[in-house]
Order: sequence, then C-alpha cells, then structure tokens
Amino acid sequence: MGLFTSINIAATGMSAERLRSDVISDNIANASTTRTQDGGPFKRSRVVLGQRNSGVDWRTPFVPGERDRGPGTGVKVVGVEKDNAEARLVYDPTHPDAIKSGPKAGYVEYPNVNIVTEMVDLISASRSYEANSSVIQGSKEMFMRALEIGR
Amino acid sequence: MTISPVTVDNFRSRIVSSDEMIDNAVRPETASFEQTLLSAFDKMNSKQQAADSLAQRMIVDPESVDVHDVTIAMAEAGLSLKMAQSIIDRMIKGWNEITTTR
Repeated sequence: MGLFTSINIAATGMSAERLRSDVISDNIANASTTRTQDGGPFKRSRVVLGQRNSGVDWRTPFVPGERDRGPGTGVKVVGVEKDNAEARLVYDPTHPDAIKSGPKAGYVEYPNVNIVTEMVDLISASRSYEANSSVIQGSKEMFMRALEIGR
Repeated sequence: MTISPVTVDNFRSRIVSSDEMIDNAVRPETASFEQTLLSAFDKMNSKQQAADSLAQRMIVDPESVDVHDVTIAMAEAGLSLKMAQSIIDRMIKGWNEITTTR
C-alpha cells in the first residue's frame, strides 16, 4: 500500500492494453496476407494476459501470513499466441498462392482475421486503457485530497 | 530541472555538521525528523531523475518507451514534489508558530 502502488498497477494494465492494440493492428494490417515465413496464410494472433504476483509463490498452512498476498501487483502478458482457426477460402485460381492440387485446388487460403472482431477488440482495448487511466486519475485525486488535510 | 544527488548530500552534511545539537538529538532507535525529511528528498529526487531519463528516452528513441510510462513518471515526480513541499510548508508553519510565541 505504497504511495504509488495503485498507479503502478494501473500502469501495467495500460502497457498490456497497448500491446493488445499493437497485436490488433498487426492482425488488421495482415488481414489479407497469403504467405508468411512459416508457410501458409497469416494466422490471427492474440494476447494472453496473466496475473502478475510478486513475493511468495507458494502456500503453506505453517506460515499463514504468507497466504495473504495483498492486492496483487497488476497484470502481465503471458504471451502472444496464434489463433489456429480455419483459414478463409476464396476461389481465385490465378492467384500465385492458390492451392495447386487436391480437393481445394484453385482456392486461396486467406487469414482467419475478421476485421469486425478486430475492431471490437480494439474498442475494448482502448476502453480498458481509458479505465486504467481513470484509476490513475482517481488515485492522484486521493493523494491531493490527503495533502489538503489540515491546510 | 533536476536536483542532483550531490546537492542533497551537501545539504545533509551542512545540516549535520553545522550543529552538534542535531547529532545529539538523533536517537539511534528512532528515525529523526531530519533523516525522514532527507530520505523523502532522496526519494523525490530519484523520482524526478527517473521521469527525466524517461523523457529523454522518449525524445531520443520514441519506440522504446510507452507514452503513459513517461507521463506516469512525471505525475509521480510531481506528486512527490507536492508531498515534500507540503511537509516543508508544515515545518515552516510550525517554526513560525514557535517564534511568535510570547
């Protein structure tokens, strides 16, 4: 419960939301990328968030105090993972990346990116960023109120 | 802009060496007012320096820092400064109260 704990926690949230918007913009930019270094079309990626905790990672009944972790220290990015959903198939035999043989011959595999979903995610990310910034604002106001005591 | 640690150190040495009474008043088991004040200064100074270095990084290499990290560091530095300022104000007010006692 330091002076700036809540501000620092909100800062981790803001960084996470920034990364989410980075990933969303990558998805949108690559919405029609048909070839990647791994082969095949681009795959939508998404951010996996986890709880960030400091201090003890273990729990024991012998030291009960260690079980109280307090309010936590924010959020951390566990990783950026690929969404392995089906690629979108578009029939276009003249495309250089069109499938040459097999039952899907003539089709082009487009990324599994849905622009609408990405835009909704972007709105969610920017609103979360805003919420974290409001937390900082509120915490700052509390600090200023505390300074005004007895003035 | 920033208060360098050197000036803070000078300030401390001047306060401590100028008057033996302060040394006598400092009890080892409790943190003295002066120590508390100076450690608050140190913390405030480090906040200011962190904000400054982040701002410099923002200018030199904008890709390496998040905007909100810079502004948050600046806000923290500002709040620390306000805190120190209000402590000093309170201290001077108390001093004035004492000097005007008749």
